[in-house]
Amino acid sequence: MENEKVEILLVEDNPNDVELTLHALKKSHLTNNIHVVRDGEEALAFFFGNPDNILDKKIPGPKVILLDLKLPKIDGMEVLRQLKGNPATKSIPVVVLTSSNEERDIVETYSLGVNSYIVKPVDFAKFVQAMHTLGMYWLMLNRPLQD
Amino acid sequence: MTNYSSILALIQNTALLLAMALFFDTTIQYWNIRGKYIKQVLFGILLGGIGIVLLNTPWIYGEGLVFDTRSILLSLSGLFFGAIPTIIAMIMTAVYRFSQGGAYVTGISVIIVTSLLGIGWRILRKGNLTNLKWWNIYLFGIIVHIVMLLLMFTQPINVALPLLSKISLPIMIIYPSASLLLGLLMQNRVRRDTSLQEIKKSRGRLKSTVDILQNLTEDDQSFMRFALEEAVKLMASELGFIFYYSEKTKQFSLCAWSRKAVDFCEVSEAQTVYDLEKTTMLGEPIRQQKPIVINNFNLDNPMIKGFPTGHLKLSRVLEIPVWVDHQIVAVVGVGNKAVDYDDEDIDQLTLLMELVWKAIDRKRTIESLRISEENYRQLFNQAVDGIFITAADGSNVEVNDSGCEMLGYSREEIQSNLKEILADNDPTLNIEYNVKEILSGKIIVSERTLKTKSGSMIDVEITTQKLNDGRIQKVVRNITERKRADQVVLQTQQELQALLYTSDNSRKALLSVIEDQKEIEEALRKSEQSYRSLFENITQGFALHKIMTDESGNPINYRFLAINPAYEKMTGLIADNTIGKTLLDILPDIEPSWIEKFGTVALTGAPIHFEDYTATIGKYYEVTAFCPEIGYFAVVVSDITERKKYELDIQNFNLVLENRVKDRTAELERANHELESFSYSISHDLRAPLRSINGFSQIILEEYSENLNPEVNHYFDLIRQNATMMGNLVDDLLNFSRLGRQSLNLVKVDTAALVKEVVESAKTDINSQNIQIEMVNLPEVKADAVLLRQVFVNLVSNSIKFSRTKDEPKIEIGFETQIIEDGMFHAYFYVKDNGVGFDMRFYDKLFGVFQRLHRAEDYEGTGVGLAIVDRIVKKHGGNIWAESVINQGTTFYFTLGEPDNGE
Repeated sequence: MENEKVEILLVEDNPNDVELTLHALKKSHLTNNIHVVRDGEEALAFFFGNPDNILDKKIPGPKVILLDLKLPKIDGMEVLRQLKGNPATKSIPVVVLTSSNEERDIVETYSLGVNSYIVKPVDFAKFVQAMHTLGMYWLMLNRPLQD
Repeated sequence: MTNYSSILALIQNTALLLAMALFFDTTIQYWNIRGKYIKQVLFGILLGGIGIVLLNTPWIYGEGLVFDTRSILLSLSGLFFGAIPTIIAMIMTAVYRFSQGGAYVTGISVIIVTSLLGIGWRILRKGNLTNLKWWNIYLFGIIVHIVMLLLMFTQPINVALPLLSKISLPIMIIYPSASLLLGLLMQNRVRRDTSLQEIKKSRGRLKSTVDILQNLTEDDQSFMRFALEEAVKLMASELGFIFYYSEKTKQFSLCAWSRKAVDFCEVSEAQTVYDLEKTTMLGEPIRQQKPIVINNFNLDNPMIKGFPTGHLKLSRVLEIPVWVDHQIVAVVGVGNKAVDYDDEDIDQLTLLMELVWKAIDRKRTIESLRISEENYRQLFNQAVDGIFITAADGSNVEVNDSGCEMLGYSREEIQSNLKEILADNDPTLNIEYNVKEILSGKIIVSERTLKTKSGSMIDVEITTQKLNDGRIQKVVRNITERKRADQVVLQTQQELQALLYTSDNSRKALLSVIEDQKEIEEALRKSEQSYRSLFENITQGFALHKIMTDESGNPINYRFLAINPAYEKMTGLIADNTIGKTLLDILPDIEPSWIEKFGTVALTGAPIHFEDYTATIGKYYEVTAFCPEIGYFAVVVSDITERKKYELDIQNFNLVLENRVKDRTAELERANHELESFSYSISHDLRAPLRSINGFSQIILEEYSENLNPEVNHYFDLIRQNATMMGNLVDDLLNFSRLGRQSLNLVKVDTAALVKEVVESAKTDINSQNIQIEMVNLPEVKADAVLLRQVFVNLVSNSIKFSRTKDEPKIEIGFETQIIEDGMFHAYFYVKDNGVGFDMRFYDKLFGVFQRLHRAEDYEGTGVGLAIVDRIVKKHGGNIWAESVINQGTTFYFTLGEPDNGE
């Protein structure tokens, strides 16, 4: 898949959650151009590929990144830090989608510049609702920074 | 012709022998100096020359009777010249004789034997030739020549016998006589020379003596130095020394080294004091109590071991002890004479040093006499008393200034008229009689009144005595003042007596005064006694001191005036050794600040109080110093070691406790941290599978339910419900555990507003169940707003839940204050409902986690809500309890904080 066409980047290691998320998005007809990466390293590679020319490369990023915090290899917090710390990627909206309801996680992600923080509800109906709202907002309503 | 030539040869021989004597005569003055080997060798060669000439001029007596006088020459040379020249002459002569050929064996053996006889005899007499008798020499001549004749047998017997029969008689007549004559000549020269040396020596001794005595005016040290130099010179020595010796300390102390020795000595920082034990050679005269002579100087000699390196090289030494009053007071030594020291040298040095010490002694006696005379003169001149000294007959009057001044007469007037002035001619005093007594040694003291020149009368006391030199001394003391004072005392006494005896009353009055005095004294004595007893028995140390200051009034030291037994015990100072002493006497190294500190007390009167630690005995003292009188200070010292020990123990114990608390805190923090990461994992990982279960069940129910029979649908629904339930449980549990580590954020909370808000959020249920809500007396409190809200949320939702079945449900939320005893009051919140209630038998399960008192199908819930409430209340330091009656309702009460003046 070409990077240019990706609208939603889902960073999620749990295959069940991937499937549920995709299902929920499908219900809201938002399944076009979803790209899934399974850990923090892959997520960073998606943007930066070769880390040597990070600054030169102009990446037209996805419209939104759905980021889980608990990830193998490089965790979500670190991914967030790098994305928001890099001028090339810092304007891409990041929504943390996590099971963690911990105050300190919430505080830290906001301090790193996260755009939204959503606790995945156990109830699937609520989850579907949440994903619908989320997709609608970031993909339809939100006006991203133009090149 | 033959006769003539034989006479000529005789004369020649005689002349040659006389040449030897002359040669001896001219060289003898160099003879006594040993070590002049080159000279000796030269003399030997000359003698050898004479010998060769002698061999060339034989004296032919008759046919075959050829003589020469080599035997006389060589034997006398051996005797008078000594070994070296003689042996050289002997060898030269022998070699020459050998070159002549003929019967050289006989000739050479005569040469050798006669030489050796001469040398041998010289050695036998140890070189002492002055007291040889004429017959000694003659006998020597006879022996030499008998031996010579016997040597003729070295020739064949048929030659020897006729030869001997011819020459024996003439030889034995002429040769010993010639030897005697020549020997006497040479001995005479020796004697003369010895006498000359003796004269020289005595002259030297005399000169030294005179010089030494002339130098007596110098101070002792220079005198000793001079005497030593003289001694060294006189003893023909190179160096000398004088060490004083003290029998008491067994030590030598350096008096002087001769100049030359000092120049040569290279011992760095040579000692000047030596212990007898450590000396070697120096101490020998003391140890052996006699003079010591060391002529063979080698380092194996035990007497000279341990000489420091750089010490002057010594070849010979003579040391003598100097005795004064049967004690050795010094050791004098000379050294490095060219020849051995002998007895004469010992005598010489001993005599000289005796002279020196006698001279010094005499000098000191004269000096002390002079000083005593001077002292006397000074006394005489400066005495306040008048002193008059006269000859036994009253002539030759001497008087001091005080004497003149006292009586107002000039010295001349007194000298011409002493008797009258001193009233010695006053018949009433019986002076003539006294003079006899005085001359017999009695001391007469008399008082009389004299008239001075100005006419005033003075009372005097005159002490008259005979002086050692037979003169009479009168010491006149003016006692006018004393007399007057005596007079006053006497008068006062009389007046007092008069007073005492004139009036009985006054006597009584006086007596009563005395009684009072006695009483006061008694009281004083008692007070003194109790003070003394306190002083002696008190357990605190007490010491009284007087401060000592410098000219500008700064304290520099203090003196101990009194210390009590306790003080002795504490400080180790003993009263007997301390009282009257100053601090610096006892502790010279004390810091000046110590004295300053007490000085301030004694001089300003401001008391001080401090604690002191004495490391050496490990004791703590509490010291109070105060000032009983300006210039004095007293210290009271208490031993507080025990108390200090306790204090230290407590300190240590506190430290241990603190450390333990720190350790525990660290442990707790660690445990907390572990718990935190544990619950974090739970919150994240436990919910993920639940979400999947729920999610997929939901998908099946929503999207595939038409394809499944209703039973499967029902079961999927149950799966989904349970998963949701499990999710709630996890959330509640996490909330509950999070409470434990959350710290309170205490702020002022308006509980009325808070409860209103809680009720508002539950509006839906309240309205649907038509529940009546009442809020009573809710105050403002200090609490964590978020948590307190959680309490009300849980309690109110609980009440709503269990009021569900009631027709007229009512929930009352309020605050109440109850006075308990002693002005304390009890304030609490309560939430009261009229719901289903619970069985109080299970009360103890009420606040437990996951504990439920109702069936789940009747009343949903996780069983965590009340546990959370309980925890929040406890966290605020409060308490929660409940009362319930089944089907009538339940009331929960809780406080925030201990029951006190209340919130």
